[in-house]
Formats: sequence, C-alpha cells, structure tokens
Amino acid sequence: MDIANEFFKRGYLLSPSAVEFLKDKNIDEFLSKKYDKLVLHPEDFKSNNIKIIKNLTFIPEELTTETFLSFYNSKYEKMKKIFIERIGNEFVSINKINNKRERVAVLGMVKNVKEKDGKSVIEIEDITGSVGVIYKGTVELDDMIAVRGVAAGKVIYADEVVYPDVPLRSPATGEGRVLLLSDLELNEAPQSKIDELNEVLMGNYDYGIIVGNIGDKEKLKTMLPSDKKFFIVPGAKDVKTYPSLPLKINFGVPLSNPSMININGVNILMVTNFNMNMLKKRYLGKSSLILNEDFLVLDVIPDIIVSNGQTNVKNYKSITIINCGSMLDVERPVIVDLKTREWNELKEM
Amino acid sequence: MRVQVLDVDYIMNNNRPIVRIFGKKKDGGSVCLFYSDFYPYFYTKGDVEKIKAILKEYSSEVRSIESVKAFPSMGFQPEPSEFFKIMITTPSKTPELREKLESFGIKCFEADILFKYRFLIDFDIYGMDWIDVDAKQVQSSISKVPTYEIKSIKKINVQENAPLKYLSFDIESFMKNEKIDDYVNNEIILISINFSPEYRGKKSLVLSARPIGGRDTIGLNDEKEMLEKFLDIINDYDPDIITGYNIENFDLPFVIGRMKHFGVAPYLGRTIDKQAYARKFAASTNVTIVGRVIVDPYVIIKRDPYMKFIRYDLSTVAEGLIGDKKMDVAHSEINDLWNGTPQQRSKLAEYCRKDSELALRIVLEKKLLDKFFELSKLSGVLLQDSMAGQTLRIETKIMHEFKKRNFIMMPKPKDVEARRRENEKKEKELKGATVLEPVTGLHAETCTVVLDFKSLYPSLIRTFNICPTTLILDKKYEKFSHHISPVGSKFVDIEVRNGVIPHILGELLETRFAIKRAMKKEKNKNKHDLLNAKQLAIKIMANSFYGYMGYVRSRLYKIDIANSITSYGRENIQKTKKIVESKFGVKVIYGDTDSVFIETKTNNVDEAAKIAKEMAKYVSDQLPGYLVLDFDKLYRTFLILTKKRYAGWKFDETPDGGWKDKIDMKGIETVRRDWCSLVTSVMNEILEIILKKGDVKKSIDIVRKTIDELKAGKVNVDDLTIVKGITKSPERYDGMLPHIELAKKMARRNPTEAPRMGDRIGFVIVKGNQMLSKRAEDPKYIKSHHTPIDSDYYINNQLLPPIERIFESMGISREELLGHGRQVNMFDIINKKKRKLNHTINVEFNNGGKSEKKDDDKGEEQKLDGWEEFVCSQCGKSFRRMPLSGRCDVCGGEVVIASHGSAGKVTHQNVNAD
Repeated sequence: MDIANEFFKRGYLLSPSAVEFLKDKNIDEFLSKKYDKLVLHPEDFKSNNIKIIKNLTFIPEELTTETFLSFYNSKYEKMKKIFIERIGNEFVSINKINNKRERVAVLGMVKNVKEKDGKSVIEIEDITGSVGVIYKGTVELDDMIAVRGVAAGKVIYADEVVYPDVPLRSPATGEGRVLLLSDLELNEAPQSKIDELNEVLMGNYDYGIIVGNIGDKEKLKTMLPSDKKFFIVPGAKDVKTYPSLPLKINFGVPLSNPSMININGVNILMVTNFNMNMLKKRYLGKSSLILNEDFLVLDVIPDIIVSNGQTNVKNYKSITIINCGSMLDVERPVIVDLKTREWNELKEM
Repeated sequence: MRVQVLDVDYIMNNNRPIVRIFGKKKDGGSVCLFYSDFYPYFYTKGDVEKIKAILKEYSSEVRSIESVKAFPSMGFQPEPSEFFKIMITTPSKTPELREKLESFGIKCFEADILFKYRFLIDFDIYGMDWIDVDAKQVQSSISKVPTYEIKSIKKINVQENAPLKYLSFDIESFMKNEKIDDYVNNEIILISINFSPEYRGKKSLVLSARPIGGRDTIGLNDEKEMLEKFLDIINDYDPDIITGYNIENFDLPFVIGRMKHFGVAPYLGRTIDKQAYARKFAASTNVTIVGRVIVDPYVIIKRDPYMKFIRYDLSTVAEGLIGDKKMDVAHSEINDLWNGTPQQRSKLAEYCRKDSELALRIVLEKKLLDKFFELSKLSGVLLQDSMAGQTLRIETKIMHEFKKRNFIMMPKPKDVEARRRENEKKEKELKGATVLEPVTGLHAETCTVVLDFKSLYPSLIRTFNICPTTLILDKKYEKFSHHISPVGSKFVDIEVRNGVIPHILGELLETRFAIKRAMKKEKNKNKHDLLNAKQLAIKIMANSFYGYMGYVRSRLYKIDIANSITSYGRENIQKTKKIVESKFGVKVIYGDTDSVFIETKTNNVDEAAKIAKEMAKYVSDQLPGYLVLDFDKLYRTFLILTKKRYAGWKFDETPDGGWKDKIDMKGIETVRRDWCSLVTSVMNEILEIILKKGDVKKSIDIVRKTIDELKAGKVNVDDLTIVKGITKSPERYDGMLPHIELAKKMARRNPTEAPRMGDRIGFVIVKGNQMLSKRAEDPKYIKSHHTPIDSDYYINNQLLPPIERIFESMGISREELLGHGRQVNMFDIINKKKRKLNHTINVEFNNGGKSEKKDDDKGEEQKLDGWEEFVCSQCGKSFRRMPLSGRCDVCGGEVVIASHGSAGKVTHQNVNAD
C-alpha cells in the first residue's frame, strides 16, 4: 500500500520522517483521524498523554507553630498510610502501650537516637505520645519506622524495625522514547562536551528530561530543539532549597526538585542525589523546608527514576533507576523506550 | 357481688384458716369477704415413706400427702416428674414443717409462699383485680365493715377502679426526749386530717390535745382523748388509703406508740382482731394496717428515679410538684405558739393542717398511685406490696404463670447459698455490659445520630428464649434442638419449649406496644394518663426480669443466664457497629449497653435523620427475633468526654415536621449532683458556646473569668452549695465526710432541725486551717455570719475537675485552660484537628431553615524574624523539632517556636529559586 497516497487522498502530505514512522504500522487508525494542517510529521501520530504527578509550586513564607505541627503530622499520616498498605494495620497507638509485658507493633517517627553498647536507644513518637525502643540495628532521625517487639514498661525491646520499601510489580510501559540528561553545568562545562550534547539533542527521541545543575539557562534555551518537550528539574547550584520550586524559565516544562510526571502511563521520578534508601524508606531525603505538608513522602511508586551524580543504570523491583552523571565529570545520556523499557546508554561525554 | 380486691389476710377459726378479702364495691362501699375452703400446702421431693414417717408427729396438722406430676423450674426437663404435695391446716405451721423435713434432707418447694399469695395465685387473682363472688352476709364481731361469707370466686375483667377514700394526716409533737421513739415521754399535741372525698362536709379537721378555737378544729381535753377521737374518725370515715408525708417513719409509729401508752388499742384497720403495728428496719419502718393501704409520698418520691429533688422535705417536694409549700413556722416557734394565746395556737393548727393537705394533694394531683395500681394488676401483688420492692412483684407474676403451666417454684436461697452466689458473681459476672470505647472530643463537622434498641434485655430474653425453664443443665437433654449463648450456655429452642419468662415478657411487651398505640389516639387527658401509667408499669416490670435472674437472693438466680443475656447484648452491639460501618460507611464513635452513637457524613439535619432511620431499619432487618433498633436522637454537634459522659446540640423533630434544638447532656452535670450549682451554670454556658458556636477560646475565657470571681469572693453562696445525701445514720459513717460532719455540727446547734438519715444536706466549704471535712458549713449560717468561703477548694475541687474533663477531651490541658505562664494569644496559633479552637459550625436543613456560620476571629499574632528552637511554653524544655503531638512530653504543655524567649511566627528565608 502506498501510505503517502492514502493520506494524499484525504488531503494531507507526509514528511519523509512521517513515512518512515508509519511504514511498519497499521495506518487505518491514523487515516480515520482529522488533522488541522497540510504536512504531517511523526509527532502528529503519537499519543501524547502527559500528567504532572508531583510538583512543588508553593512554599509558605510565614511559618507558625501550626505549620510545623501539620508538616510533621502530614509526614506521619502519609507514611502511616503507606505502611498500612504495605503490611496491614497491626499497629497500636503509643499511648495504648501499658505496663504489661506484651508483644506490640507500633508506628513511630524517630525523635531521638543514641547509641549504647552497640544498640540503638531510639525514642519514637506518634500523635499520642512517645516511647523508647531498644534495637540492634540503626535508624536515622525523623525516619518513620514500624517497630515490632516486646513492650515492658515504657520501653519496647524491638526484634524488628521495618521500613515500608516498594512492592514487586510488573513493569509499566507506554509510548515514546525519552532522552535523559543530568547536571549539564552549562556555564562551566568544556565546549567539546557542549558540542557533543548538541549532537545528542538532535537524536531520535520524543521527550527530554534534564535533572540537576543547569548553569547557564539562556544557553540551554538556545540548544533545546523546539519541537520536543523538555522537562527541566533544577539542581543544587540552581536553587538553594531541597525540595525546591521549579525554575522560573520561559522554555521547556520547569518542574520542582523532586517531581514526578507520567508519560503515556509510565511514572518518572526526577530527583537529585538519589540513593536506594529513598526507596526503602519511601522518603526522598532530608527536607530543608517546612511546608504545609511534607512533600518528600514517596507516596506514588515510580517506574523510572532519573537522577544525577554518577553514571549507571540499574533495576530494582521493576523500577529503572538511571543516573546520567555530570558534564563536569562523565556525562552519559540515556534514551529509554517506554514501550519496551529498553535503554540505550549513549556514548560517554 | 362484684368487688375490687384491696387487701387479703387470713385468720384461724375453729382450727381452720379463713381467708379474708378486703375490697371495694363499685359504689365505694367497703366489704370484707370470708372464704373458708382453702388450706395451705407445699411440695417435697424424695422418698414418700420417709416423708410420711417424718410427718407422723404432725398427724393432726397434715391433711393429705398427694403425688403430683410437675415440672421443676430450674433447668429444662421435657417431662414432668413426681412431687409430693403436702396439705396442712395452719399456714403459720408451714415453716416448722419445712424445717423438720429439711433437717432430714427432704427438699421443700413453695413452702415459703405467703398464705395470702398462695390463695391469690391458686384463684388466679391479681392485686386490684375485680372478682365476682357468691356472697352471703354474716354478722362478725371482728369486722368493722359489712362482712360476707363467700363460696365461689370468679375473676372478672373490669378496667376502672372503685372509688377510694383517702385520709391524710400529720402530727405535731413535743419532743421531751431526743430519742424519737420514746413514746413514753414524747407527746403528740396536734393531729391534722385531710379527707378526699370530704368527711361529713369537711375537707379537713385539726384535733388538738388542748382546748382550741378556730374553723374545723376540735379541741380535746388531753392527748388520750385526742387519740381516741382520731381513731373514731378513722373508723367512721373508713379510709382505703392512709397517707401523710413521712408517716411510715414518723407519724404512724408515733401515733401507735402513744395509743399503746394510753391503753388505747390501735385498731386502725378494718378489723378489731389485729392491731396496727410498726416494724423497724435499719433505715425504715414498716407499718401494717389490716384492710387499708398506707401510702407515704415521701417513700415513693424518694425511690422514683423520675422525681429528683435537692432535699426531700415536704416543703421542697410540694413546691416542686404542686407549687405550694408549708406555712412558715420555724420548728423553734412551735413551743411558744402552743403555750401562747388561742390565736397563736390556732396558727399552729393551721400550720399542721397545711402539712396533711400538701401530702394529700401530692398523692392525688400527681396521681402517685396510678403506677402502683397498674403494677399491682400486672404483677399480682396486693396494692400495699406493689410499693415495696420489685422482687415480690416478679416472683408473684412468675408464680401465676408457673401455676398455669404446672411448674414448681424454687425456694428462696438460704444465707449460705446467697453468699456463695455473691462470690460466684464477683468471679464470673460479665461486667459493664457492652460499651464501645468513645472517640473522645468534639465532633463538630457532621451530625451524630443515636440509634437504640427497644427494651434490649427483654428483647434478648425473648429472642433467645432465655429462661430457667429452657436452660439445659442435664447433658442428656442436649438432644433437643437448642442454641448456645456466647458464654456457652445452652437453651432449648422455642419450638421445644417457650420459656416462661420469655412468654411473660412477650405478653408484657405486646401489651405495652398496644397501649402506646392507643395512647397516640387517646385525646382524653385522664384516660391518657392512665394508659401512660400502665405502659410505664409494664416497662418497669419487663426491665426487672434480667436483674432478677442475676440477683443473688432470687429464687431463679443463675449466673449463666444473666451472663448469657449480657453476652448476647454485647454481640448485638458489635454486630450493629459492623453492619452500619460497612454498609453505610459511617463511623460508630461510641456505644452504650443498648445504643450506638454514629457520626454521619452530613451536616444537614434532615438528611442525618433520614440516614439514621434507614440505618435503624436496615440493622433491625438484619438482627434476629424481637431485636429492633430505633432512631433515638440526633445531635448536630457532639462532645464526648468519656463513656457515659457526653453533651450534644440535640435536634428533636416536632410534630409539624420542623426541628426543636436544645443542649442535651448525659453524665456531665445535672446527673452528678455532688457539684455546686456554679459548676452547673458554668458548664452549661461553656458547653453551649462550644456546641453551638464551636468557640473553644471563648469558653476558656469564661472559665478564667469565673475563677477570678471566685478569688474575689464575688460568687453567691447559694451557687456554691453542695448537696449530698445522708444514707446511713451519721454515727455509722467511717471517716470524715464534710456533709456528715456538718450534720453533726447542726445537730449540736439545734437537734430538731438537724438533717437525719435519708435527708439531703446542703453545705459550703469555708476558709480555715482545719481539715476540709470540718470546714463544711450550713449556707444559712454563712449568710448570717458572713463567713468567707474557700475559693481554692471551689476552683480546684469543684469547678476545674469536671470542666477540665471537657477541655481535655478536646486536647486542652488544665495548664492551658488556666493560662499559666504563657501569652494569651498563644492559643490562636494552635489549630490542629483535635485542638482546634474555632470550629465553623454549619447547620443545614432541607427546606432552607436556619444556618449559622462562625468566622474565625483570629487573635493577634506576633511575627518573629527567625526561630531558634522549639520550646515548651510551660516548662521551657527545648526540642530538636516540633513533636507530633505538639505537646511537651514532660509536662504536657504546648510546644511553640520560640525566639528570644517569646513566641510567634517565623519566615522561610532564601526560598526563591532565582
């Protein structure tokens, strides 16, 4: 069948790339649609369903005692919900622990930690009160943990401290190829690398994601192809807080750090300085801000995580975690095909 | 002849018992009926030859020993078994024979039923029943009223009561000895009598032990003559009801005592063979007058849970019930008046007259007896006994039913058995029935509705056929179809045997239902009141069976039965909770024995009511048998402190389909009467503000203002008076209790005015160095002596404890309430859910209606440049970060952001991305 002819009969012309795009596809569906232009490009045939799932857009200027209360309590509540979804509701409130020696399971936020004789002496709290926990392992301040153990008086001898972690799932897929980049550092990076970047940007992909230090934003604006959507998440050199607001730029789609989008059914988390604890704890690092509610709780499970710092790609329970490095060190752009979840590490820059 | 039965007794004549029925004819005439063909009997079980041998020495007494087949009443048994019915001649010999038999290990049944009740039960006659008798008038030297011999007795169905004659009296006395029952030295000086209907054209008479002038007053020469005149009047008037305020404890024993002292036989009854006599019990006296009924409104009112007074003296009660009070004569004046001029004496006579008038009016105007007429007809006890405890009422009712269905009643337990049962109960009894833990605090967002079970325990007993006669005690009867209660007791199904108690309850509840329906249609107020008395009597009866089966001195006590009922009750409440929560997605925030409190999802009152009705119907359909859940109450806002203590802004449907609102409280203030009225009024005020306006902050201000006024001594003494009851004689109290100490103090000041056992006494705590109990003082004394009150006591022991509980339930501590050491506007920065200080309360109705909105009036806040730390506003402890609870874990104080020692807001710095 002559694809171009079929479209011509309906009053449209195809660009060469469009012919290439359509040649191994069933075109009946594309033929039945109406287009409001004469020349059709591949983009015109692609489904383009993008949702912003997580994006910080407001930071309160004034903080009251109430803000602090609701901030920490929202973390507690959101995390509690995650725990209950993950391991069921077997937990009692801390004030329900009495002097009887009995097995208990409680949820709490770490208020204080001390080390003593190789054990952690932890104080955890919920809204009803706080309780001491003796545990062989370690925890960090403000972690939300589930504790199982034997209560005796006002101390729990924990035999288990549990973090929520993520469940096993089957991988999500969708349409489109996504180019991933990090720490472009455009004001400091050598020209050679910038040239290579320009080449990468000309490549075959549908969407772009840039995470981490941008540096010269005006320069980036001139480099990005105008026919592709770029999601831009700033790094520590661009913004002073974590979490941060999106950059104030008039190109691309500026998003906060961290943020999450869904492209054609695939959740992509963008966050700087990712580490595996963030998944295990379902919490994205340390907040330097007090907000009306805690923004860093990872309540939606991502399918792909884009971060900076190193260059590697790995899988963890169907989550593809991609670090693309830095233009000041080694940058390794990655293109992910959402349909197959295959990734191509482009050549080192 | 048709006669309504008022009283029954028996006499021995020619070595046979004669039952005497005292009754009233329709025309009001009183009669005494003699029935002589009835003998006492009881049952035994065991070796008949042995029984005969034991009873050999009573051959003149024992009339017959007969084998009968009957069912035992404790434990299910499919077929009747053999008992021996022993009929004897003399009722009073029964105990002797029973003891003899028991000493040989022979079990006796129904040997502890009073002969008059044996007679009534066998003839199926209930108290106040009408009977049709075949009567032949006889001359009797011992009856004061026309007397008949009767051969046949037929019960007939007449609803109305014969007209009764009421005589109310009151005495004034001279106490020469403090000991009240010194009838040798203490004198009666006046007797006032009020009649209904009139006596020889007179509404009242006053008899005086000295010549006296005045209207309807009879002056006698001395006390003896006065007492004789009193007896004459009683005989001549022939009252059915003798009444008077506190006559059982005071006036009647006094009159009887003085009559005996003067050698006047106290034949106050309808015969001259039995004198009136008074028996003293620990806290009360019981007087018997043959053929008449003694009605003491003091005793009745004190026992009635629906009539509550601060004090139970005649003046207070009369004022509360009929809006009239005693004449103003102080006790100390009596002596002077009596020894004064004729005018003064006649003032005293009028004072005395008023007392008996008030008592009579209370009985008649408040229709005090209606309930007892009905209880008597319902349970089978005689009118006089209907005013005593419920045990006899239930036993008599059950005995009537047992007689019909051929069951043999169990004996009353001996002391040893009663003690064993008490211990068993302590160990095994399921306590506290069913209570779902409350979700405390203010529920202001949406309406809370209350659904309750109609007559829960009676319904459970009916539904699960719970009865001593259905309980399987013998494993071999487990082959009969049965069900197992949550505590593991087995009861045969209703198809096998309809239990006696479930059957009785079925009849009672169906009747009550019919009466309530009839009440709705009844326009005539008198008939309506009568129906109401009936249905109330049924409710009282129906609700007492559960208690009876768990009462250690009951004939049909069984811990497993009581526990089965309780456990079914619990199961039921849990089931209800599950059903409404899963089906309607609402939240049960509290559950009582027979009700559930449900937080709906709407603030629309009409909608909440609709949902409540839907839920009630849905749950009722799901529950077995006779269990019916009803929509009971609706609260727009609901504050619950602990179980059994809550308040709410209640909306009641009006007949025209609208709503009437009020603040409703349970267990918070009116029910606890050991607080002074200041507490009540402050509580009312703050609850009103919290519930209707959602303004917690304002309510805090009110508490603080009250405290300031207390400190400044600006509060009225009456508002500080605490009222407590003296439940036993002051000497018998262990330890020091303020009201008891005051009673003793008052007795020292003026023995005649001192409150006695059974009284309620008001006191105020005054300043001083002594122990608290010694600092209780009579309010009157305080007013006349201007004694300063102990404001600290009132703040810390009266005002704060109940008020603290209210605030605590909303997450506000005592320290916050008092505003100790913190800035006033600090309250405003806390706005967490539980500690929310300003709730916006929207009230919606389907048809427009009213709507109230409240704007948050935020206080002034202080802005700070930066923040250094989180500190406890109270104890100053500093925190690394804000604790989740917002409170200090050391002292419970509020944790705030602090900078330079003060608190307020801080700002984020450098948040701009660019």
